[in-house]
Amino acid sequence: MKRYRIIEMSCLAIVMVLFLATNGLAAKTEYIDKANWETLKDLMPENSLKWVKSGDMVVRYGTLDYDPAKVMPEWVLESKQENIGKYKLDKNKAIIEVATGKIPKFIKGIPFPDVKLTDPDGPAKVMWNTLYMRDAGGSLHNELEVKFMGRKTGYERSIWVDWYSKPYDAFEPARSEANPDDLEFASQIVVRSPFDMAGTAMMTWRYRNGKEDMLYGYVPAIRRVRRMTPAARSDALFGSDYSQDDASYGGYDGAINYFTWKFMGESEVIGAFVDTKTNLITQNKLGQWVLQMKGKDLPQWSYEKKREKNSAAPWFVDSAVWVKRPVWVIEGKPKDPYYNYGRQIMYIDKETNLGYWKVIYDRTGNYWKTLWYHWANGQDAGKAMNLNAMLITTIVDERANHATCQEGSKNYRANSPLNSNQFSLGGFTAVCK
Amino acid sequence: MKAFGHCFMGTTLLLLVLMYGNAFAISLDDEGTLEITGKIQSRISLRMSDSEGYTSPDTPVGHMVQQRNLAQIELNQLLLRQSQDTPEVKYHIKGRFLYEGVYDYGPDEYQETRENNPDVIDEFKKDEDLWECYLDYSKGPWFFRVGKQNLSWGETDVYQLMDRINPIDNTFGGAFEDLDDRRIPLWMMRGTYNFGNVGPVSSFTAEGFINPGWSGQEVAPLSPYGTPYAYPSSASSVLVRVHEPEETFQNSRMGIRLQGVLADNFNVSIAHYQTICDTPSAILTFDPTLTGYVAQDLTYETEQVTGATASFYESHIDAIVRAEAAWFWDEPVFIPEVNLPALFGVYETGKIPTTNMLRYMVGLDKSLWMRFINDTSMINCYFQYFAEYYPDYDDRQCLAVEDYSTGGFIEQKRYEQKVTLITSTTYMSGTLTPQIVFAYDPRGAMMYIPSIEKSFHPWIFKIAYYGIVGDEDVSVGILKDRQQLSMQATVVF
Repeated sequence: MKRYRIIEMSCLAIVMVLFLATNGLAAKTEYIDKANWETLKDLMPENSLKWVKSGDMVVRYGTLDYDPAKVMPEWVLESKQENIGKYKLDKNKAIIEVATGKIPKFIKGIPFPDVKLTDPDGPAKVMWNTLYMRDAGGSLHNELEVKFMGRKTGYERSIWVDWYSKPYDAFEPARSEANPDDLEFASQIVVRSPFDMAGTAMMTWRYRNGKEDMLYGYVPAIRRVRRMTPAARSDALFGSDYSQDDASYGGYDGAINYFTWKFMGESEVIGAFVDTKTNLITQNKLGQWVLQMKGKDLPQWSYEKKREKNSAAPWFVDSAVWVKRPVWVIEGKPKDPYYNYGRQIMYIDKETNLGYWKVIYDRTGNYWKTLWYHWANGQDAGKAMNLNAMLITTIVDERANHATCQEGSKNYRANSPLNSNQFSLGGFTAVCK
Repeated sequence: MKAFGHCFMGTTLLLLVLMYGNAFAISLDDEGTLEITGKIQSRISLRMSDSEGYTSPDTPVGHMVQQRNLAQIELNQLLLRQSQDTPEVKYHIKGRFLYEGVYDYGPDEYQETRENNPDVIDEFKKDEDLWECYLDYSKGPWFFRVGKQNLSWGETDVYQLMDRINPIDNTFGGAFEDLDDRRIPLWMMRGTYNFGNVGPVSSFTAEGFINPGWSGQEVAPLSPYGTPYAYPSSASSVLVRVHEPEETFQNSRMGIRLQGVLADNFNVSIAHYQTICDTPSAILTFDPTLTGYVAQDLTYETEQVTGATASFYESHIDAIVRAEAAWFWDEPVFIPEVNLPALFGVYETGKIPTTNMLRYMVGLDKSLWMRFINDTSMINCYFQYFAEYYPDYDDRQCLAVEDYSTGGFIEQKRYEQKVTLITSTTYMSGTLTPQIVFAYDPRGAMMYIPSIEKSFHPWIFKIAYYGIVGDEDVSVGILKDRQQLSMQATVVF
């Protein structure tokens, strides 16, 4: 009898331990606003913390119920071991093999998994990693809603665009793709709506050797594909608060050697995620991995609450969960004296190489804009396929009291069957009006 | 009944837009593969200079010359998404409804134009068309577009150089309308094939089109006499006959273009095509069987064009350089003594003389920051130098435009040059767009078009002034008494 009691007690103890353990892993969140803003002191860029203090931002602060450093495509996880010490940067900040001194034919996953704070090329390597994290997700066809919002006006209007991106590096299945022009990736942005802008399109070819981007624009009014100057990448995108260079996983989508990069240090900041759980992805009949957002009632925007009393500024996503993460703090300065921005401070996750914040200064050194991301980490039911989706980004122009948000939650489709022909001159004409 | 039909259509569209209350396309399915989109636009233009010379009717400053109402509705559907095994198939249908009100409720002089010529003007003032209708098919390196469509080749703005495939409709707003609004879509089949990298050329692409000539040809229409955008001319005292191209395969518009990228920077293309001249060639026909023995025959001639383009990024000046040259084979020209011998006492039928001609353009696109003007968006500047040259020039050559001061025709020079500059930027999150366009002829005439557009989505308002200064016998100066102020309201959905 005594023996049974011991077994019974032991089982009870195990159940209790398991209960506590699982509760410990489960996500917990709390709201932080102007009443308890001190909790976030040193965990946000200073100008953003002011939003919490003023009530413009209410933070749902907490934890995730998974480790984001483990929910990444398998080739990225493998590259964290395989690529240690394998690559370095040449004088043009192009990636070369340590062994041969040549540009590699293909790089799997991220090229620099072992960045050191003392490495002078370290910040440039981290920025390369952010670009390769975008590429690692594979060919992307995402329908983006670009929302314009004012502090007083609230939601103003939207532009709907189709975003196509085809990587030639990082994404393991791309290894077998012919890449005669030695591209890192090619992308297209095509405006679908409203009518007066529909058909406007841009195409970028990004080279792996540090050469200037090839940019093409299609203007429906003249019905022709036109070359565009790379300087246009810092121009306002469709009149929004974004420039084309803002739209990437680390806050910078230009050629790495256009900037000088500097480590400002290591730190911890809060970064935004769409949900506390991983987001389910399913494969459709075209082979695309589709992020399933239907029925989740996410994201919930502050502007949709019609500026309720005590609600945040219209451009905040109330449903986002903010999580403390370790980051590199990196300063980038453009070499081009005509680039629209001055220095930019990026906060990049040390484990995932995904950006959380970018603070933008003008050319005279005064604070201007802040950009931040809302990540959705997708996982299929069998947990065999992972993807990292930059689902929402928001940029606030502090001077103009205006923001632009990109939301891609409606139809996010990774591993899209985009072939290289779509990114040729003839193919570009075909996607245009 | 027709007026009721127009009214019903307009009201339905307006309600549709107001119902949705925004500027988005109306998606008819969750995936967004089927959508309706469009615009409704109304434009009023006021003449800002007194009529001179042959301009008819006489229109004082401030009188309305245009009250154009336009509706365009598009239906787009993606039928099949591309995969490794399946093609992408989609279609596009656009209807266009146009009504010009100046003849019904405009100034007296234009109501009189209608009263004097009711059949022609009643037909001219309205249009209901299946404007575009095509099917796209893409698979691998192939792309086909079949149906009624526009196709534009070349690198130029403002003036056409190689962009002469579709006819241009200058009747409802002349040179003061956007070029794309004036293009008339044609039933054609076009296809492209991407060869990929071939030798030193990357993205090497071949493109061809055919608009078959055996089933009737669409040509650039002529403005009826007495309408606001008709070229200045005296009223014809003889019978005018217009001859469209014969319905034969030989009169097809068709052509081929090869393009690609050299040295990862130089976009180049070469093209050859046959088209139909937008301006019909005029001759006086001597025919004793006619009343008065003479008729004016206007004939739309075919023309062969061979050309090449290049554009590249020049990093030292951080600008795109564009160039285009085209050789026009046997282009019809106007030599009064040859075309209109009856005017010179020679009572025989005139002939259409032809000669080869070279047109070329060099352009520079530069976007720059001028932060004292705009610290959020770049100033975009598009500069172009155009030239025309007749190697076998006949010094009797003229433009087929009468010169009021001499009673003859305006002289055609062996060399003609023009410079254009378009400058624009955007403010207020892209909702305010000021722009200025200059077209300058160094022989002494200039057109300038300052405009400003502001959108309050789904509404867009635009105001533009079309100013012309200089000599009336020099290119753009021919229209110097047609200066106008235009105000336009558009609602998009």
